[in-house]
Amino acid sequence: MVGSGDHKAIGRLYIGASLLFLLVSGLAGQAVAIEKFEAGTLPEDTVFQTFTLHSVAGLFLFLAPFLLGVAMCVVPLQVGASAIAFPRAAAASFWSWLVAGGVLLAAYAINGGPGGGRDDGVDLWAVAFIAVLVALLLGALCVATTVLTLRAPGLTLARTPMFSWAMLVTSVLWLVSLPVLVATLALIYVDHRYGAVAFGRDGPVMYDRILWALRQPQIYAFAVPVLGFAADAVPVSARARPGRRGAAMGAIGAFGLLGFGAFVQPTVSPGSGRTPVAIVFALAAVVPVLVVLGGAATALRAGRPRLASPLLFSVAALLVLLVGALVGATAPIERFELGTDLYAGAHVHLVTLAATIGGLGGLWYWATKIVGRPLSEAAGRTAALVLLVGTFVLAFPDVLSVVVGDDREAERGIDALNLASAAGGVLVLLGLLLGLAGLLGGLRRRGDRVPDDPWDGHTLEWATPSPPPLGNFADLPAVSSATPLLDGRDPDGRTAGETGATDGRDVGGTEGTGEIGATGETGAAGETRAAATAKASGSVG
Amino acid sequence: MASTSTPAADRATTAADPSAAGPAPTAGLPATPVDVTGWEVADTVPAVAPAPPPARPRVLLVGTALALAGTFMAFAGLIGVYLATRAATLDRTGAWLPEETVIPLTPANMILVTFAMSVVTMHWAVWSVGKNDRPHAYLALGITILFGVCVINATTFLYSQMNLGIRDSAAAVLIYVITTAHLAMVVAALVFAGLMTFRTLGGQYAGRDKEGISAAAMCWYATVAVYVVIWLAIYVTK
Repeated sequence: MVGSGDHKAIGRLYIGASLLFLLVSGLAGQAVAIEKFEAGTLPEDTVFQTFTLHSVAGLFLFLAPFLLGVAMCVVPLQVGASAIAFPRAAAASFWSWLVAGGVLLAAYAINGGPGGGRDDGVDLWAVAFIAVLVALLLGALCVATTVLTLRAPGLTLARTPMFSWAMLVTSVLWLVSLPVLVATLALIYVDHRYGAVAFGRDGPVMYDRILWALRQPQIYAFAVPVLGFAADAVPVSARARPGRRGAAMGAIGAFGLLGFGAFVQPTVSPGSGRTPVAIVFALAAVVPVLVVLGGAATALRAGRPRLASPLLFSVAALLVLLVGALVGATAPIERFELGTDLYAGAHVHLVTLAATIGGLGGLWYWATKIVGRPLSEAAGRTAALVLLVGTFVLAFPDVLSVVVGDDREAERGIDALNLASAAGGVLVLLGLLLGLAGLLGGLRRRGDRVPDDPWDGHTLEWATPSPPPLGNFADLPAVSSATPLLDGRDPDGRTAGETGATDGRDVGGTEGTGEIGATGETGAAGETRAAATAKASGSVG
Repeated sequence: MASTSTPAADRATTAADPSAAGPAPTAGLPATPVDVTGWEVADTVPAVAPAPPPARPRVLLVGTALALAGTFMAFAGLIGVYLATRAATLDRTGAWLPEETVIPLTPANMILVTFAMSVVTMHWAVWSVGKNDRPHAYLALGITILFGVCVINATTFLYSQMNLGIRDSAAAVLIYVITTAHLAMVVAALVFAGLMTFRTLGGQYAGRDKEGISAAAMCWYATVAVYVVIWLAIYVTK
């Protein structure tokens, strides 16, 4: 695995390492929550550092690389590519991110980071942060180029699977917004190192200059993949044909546009977070989430849903994201007086945890492709529910404190609600640990036959064996629709959701046990998986 | 998965094996020639024009374009901060640069002219590779790289003339960060162009496939475009 240019190996490395970093960010977050409830728990000079560690590590050492890891594993499979574009660059992206991430944590450990007491540590933090971002951007470039140039014959951009489309939008969005953060950090580094006259004077000033990347609207740039994952997984789980692809793709693209936050950089446009443009962006961000949620509801109503973990993760992620978008929509409106750090923090928690739930859902949904074996359904379902409840318990008390509290309480929170919020944080950590346990349990499972397509999937990634071999596809697949595998099983479009007439199992699927994919048995309609795949592959069918 | 073939592959098969496409059209054609062994040599000649090769994904070109988009945004951020900080400082103090600082325009103009010439030589290189004219391609790439080195030299000369210490003011920090970042971009573009030169030398890019050299050229043009903005925002406006 070390030194491999195989996109699945790199993706797995990204996922594994980011989950380790998650523990660091999660523990720092809990420390901040306890400090909020019981002031003085942390040494006074480390509170700000702990807070920034939680934010920066949570977003750039866990969430972004975790999503990138899932994308690196899945996107080339979804678009029918034999490899990721620039495989050596993808490998370099991971290793440089890992080293830079370690250095970033080391910078905090030696009293660096924003507000740190050791100048070398602060400089090291800025350089390591730049390296982390550049590495992530390199990975995003590989993913975007894969979707743009390495799609299978016949797989037009309009037919691209939703997750791949969402990752294209996400990657491009990162590529055009995060370089501004890199530039800001470069200014901070040079100024702090050589003079500290403007940009790197002290911790809070320094952090204020990069805060736009961790707040609305930029924070939505990390939640776009959730929409893609849900738009892919819900129709499959509901055993229905995905409807209104154009609307879903447009919604995902629009959400990406609304997640472009570089224009609210405070040096360039101070106070721009409360301009009419920012307010319109914040309000409009609700619409794409509603569109994808509506599509999911339509698929669930038209099909025969199975209550599997991908469906639970999808619905949970969409609900949390919707609430997050609603909270975000109200924040910039001055009349409501909600623009406190506490409210912004609740919004960020909702959006990032929606992305986390979606990412974990992706891990469960594509487990046979990513880790090579299915993950425990019980652990997945429990983790999804615990994370859903935990996220609301974590964020709602903060929202409530700002809405009903006085000025002081709107800044620091109401004591009882702070306790509830800390409990929510514990629940979230518990949910994440459950997810981690489910993942480790799946990895330890040996000897089972791994199904190729445990969910009766619609898109090309399910046409490969599990785990996918090097090169992914024995032959270059050619496709003629957005749901090639579904069309192979159900060429007349009789699947529920189109006519509401049939059961997905009747046309070659299973109940999600993966028996057909594993054994190559014929389906109920007498069609082998291979034949279905061949038909799905376009030119043969 | 089951064996499948692409339409392009089907076309290629048809072209290589005329029998697969049915009888070849014969109307108006001379009789099938026969060689000394008596075998019809028409078997070795496709009856139809060979199918074009499958469209080659322009991976390097697209990847370079995406990377350049990110680079542009980084410079947009830096120059945005420069202009905003300059405007705020001028409002507050009435002066942007320290009194003793002088930013001479001549070296900056020379850099601009050098860059302009390098655009021509880089395009010459792309054009020569497209024509399979290797000697001219090498010559053009060599001159472009030389121009790049001249730019680095001129920029360091400019630094020595400015009398601006990096600790002096926010203006100094911004000017040095922006121009040094651009120097880094010049070096990266030079390395990229050099790499593509070696690959062209090795025969990887020639004639119809000039993706590598086109990507390097795009990178170079972007470097020049960024300099034009820097020239205007920093060296001319000051």
